[in-house]
Amino acid sequence: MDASQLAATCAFCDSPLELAAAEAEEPVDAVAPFQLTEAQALQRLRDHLGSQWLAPGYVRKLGRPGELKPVLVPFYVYDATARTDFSCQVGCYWYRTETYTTFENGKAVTRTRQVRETEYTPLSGTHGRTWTNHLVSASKGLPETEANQLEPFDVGAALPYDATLVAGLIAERPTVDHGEAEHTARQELAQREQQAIAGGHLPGDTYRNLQSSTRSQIDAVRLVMLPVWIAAFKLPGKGEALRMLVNGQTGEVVGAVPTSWAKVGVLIAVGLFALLGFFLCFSGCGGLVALVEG
Amino acid sequence: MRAIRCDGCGGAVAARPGERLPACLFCGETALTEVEAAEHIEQPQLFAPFLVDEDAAQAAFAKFARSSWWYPSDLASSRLDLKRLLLPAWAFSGRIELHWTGLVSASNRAGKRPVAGHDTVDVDQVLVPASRSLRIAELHQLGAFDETALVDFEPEQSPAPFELSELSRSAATERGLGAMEDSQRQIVQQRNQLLSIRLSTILHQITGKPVLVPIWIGAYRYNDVVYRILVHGQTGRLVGRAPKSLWKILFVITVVIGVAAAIAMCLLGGGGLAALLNA
Repeated sequence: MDASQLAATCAFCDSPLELAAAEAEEPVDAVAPFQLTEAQALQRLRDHLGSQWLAPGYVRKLGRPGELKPVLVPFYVYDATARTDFSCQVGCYWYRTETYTTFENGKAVTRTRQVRETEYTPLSGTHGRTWTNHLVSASKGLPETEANQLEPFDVGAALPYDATLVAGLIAERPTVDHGEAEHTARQELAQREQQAIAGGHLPGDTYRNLQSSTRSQIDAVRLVMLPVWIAAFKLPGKGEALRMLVNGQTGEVVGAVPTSWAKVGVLIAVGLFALLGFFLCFSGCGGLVALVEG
Repeated sequence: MRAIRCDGCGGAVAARPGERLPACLFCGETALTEVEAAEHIEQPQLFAPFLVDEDAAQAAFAKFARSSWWYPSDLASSRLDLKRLLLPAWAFSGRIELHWTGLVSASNRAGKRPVAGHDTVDVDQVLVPASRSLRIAELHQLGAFDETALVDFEPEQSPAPFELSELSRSAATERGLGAMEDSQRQIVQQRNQLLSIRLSTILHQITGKPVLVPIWIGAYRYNDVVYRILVHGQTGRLVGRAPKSLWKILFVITVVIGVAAAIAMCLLGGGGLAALLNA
C-alpha cells in the first residue's frame, strides 16, 4: 500500500503514524483539535447516510462505533493579496415606449407599452482584496475538490504545534509539495476574484464578456493540521471502498455515496406510469367532453 | 482590575480605589454589579488628558439647550450633572488601497454609464469604541481626538473614572477596517460624482492601539426617557439629543389649525359674498 494514502483504509489505522517522521521534512505550524467526539461524528455520518434515499439500503445503514478514525489532515493555509484587472461590457437598462395595434371588441386600437432595452458600455477596472486563511489540501489522499466540500474549517481554533496535541491521533504527513499547493492556491484565488467581481463589484444592471487576470501575492503560508473523522467501508461486489469524511469541527459530511440503479429504475418506472395515467385521464375527460358536446 | 457594571445598559466603569460610583454614567441606572476585567482584552496604556473643564462643558450644554426652539424651556435653565469619563477606544491608522466601480450620469439612452478607478490613501485616525455602552455613531459625531496629546495611563492615578475596554484586538481590527472602508466610500463617491459605488479594498500597514479618550458625560431623564449628552474633552464639541416640548408642539398645531380655519372661512366667506352678489 502507498504510504502517502490517507489513513482511512487500514495501514494507518492499525499503526498510527508518528508525527516525528513528518516533522523532519516539513515543520507543522499549528494543530486544530477535534471538537466533535466520535459519538457525535458517528451520529452525523449515520444521519447523512440515512437521508440518502437513492443509495442502496445497506449503505444507508452503515456506520458502527469504532469505524470512524480521527485523522489530522495537513493543509497549507495562505494569506494572500490579490489584485485583478478586468474588462467587460456593463449593461444598463433603459425603457423604450413602443406603439402597437391590437383588437378590442373587434376594433383595431393603438396602444403603447414600455419595452426594456440594455445599453452596453465597455468597462476596464480593477478589484483588490486580502484573502486570509485560504486552505489547500496538503494531502494527496484528500483531493482538493473533496477538501473544498469539507470546508469551512476554523483555522483560528488551531493551537501552536505541540506533540501532546497529536497524541493518540493519526497525523498524516504532507504529500503535496509547496509549489504544487501554491499553484492550486493561485488558481483558486483567481476564481474567487472573478466570482467576487461578477457577484458584486460590477456596476449597472447586467454584464457580458467578463475577462479577468489576477496577480496574487502570497503574504504568508502555514502548515496546519485540521481534524477529520474518516471511515472506509468495503462495499460488496465493488473493488473500491466507500470513504466518508466528517469535518471534526463542524460535522459536515462528505463522500461519494453510490446510487442504487435499481431504485432509480423503479422511480423512473413510477414516474412514467404516473405520466401515462395522467395522459389517459385527460384524453378520457376530453373524450367525455366531446361526447357531451356531441 | 475591578469595575462596576450597569444592569441597565451594560457599561462597565472602573474608578480609582476608594472612589464610589453611585449611578451609571451612561444611563443613570442605580442597579450596578461589580465585575472583573476580562483577561484576554488589552486594556489601554495611553490616554488623552482633559482640555475642557466643567464650566466649558456646561457652557456647551447651555448653548445646545437653547439651540432649538422646540426644546422645553426648562432645559436651558436646568444644570446637567456632567461627569468626566475616560472612554476606551481603538485608534486605527494606515494606508488603504481602493478599487472602485460606479455609475455616473451620461447623455446616452440609459442616462448613465459605468466608470472604474483605483486610488491609495492614508487614513489618519479612525476610532472604534471599545465600550459596550456607546454607539459607534456617537463617537464618530464627537470627531477626532488629538493623538499627539496621548500620555501614559496609570489606573491608580486616573484623573477620572474610566470604562473597561471590552473589545479584543481582532474584533476591534475587524470593526476598524469596516469603519475605514466606510469613511473612504463616501469620499470616493463624492469626488467622482458617482450615482452608486462598489468598493473593494486592500489594507496596508494598519496599526491599531487601545486608548482612553476624555469625554464629559451626562444622562438625564425627561418624562421617563433617558437622554445622553456627550462633550468632547479636548474640543468641547457636544453630541446628544434633547426632548421636544409637548406644549410647544401642541401650541404650533393649534396655531396652524387656527390659521387654516381662518383662511378657509375667508375663502368660504368670499364665496358666500360672491353668491350674494350674483343673486
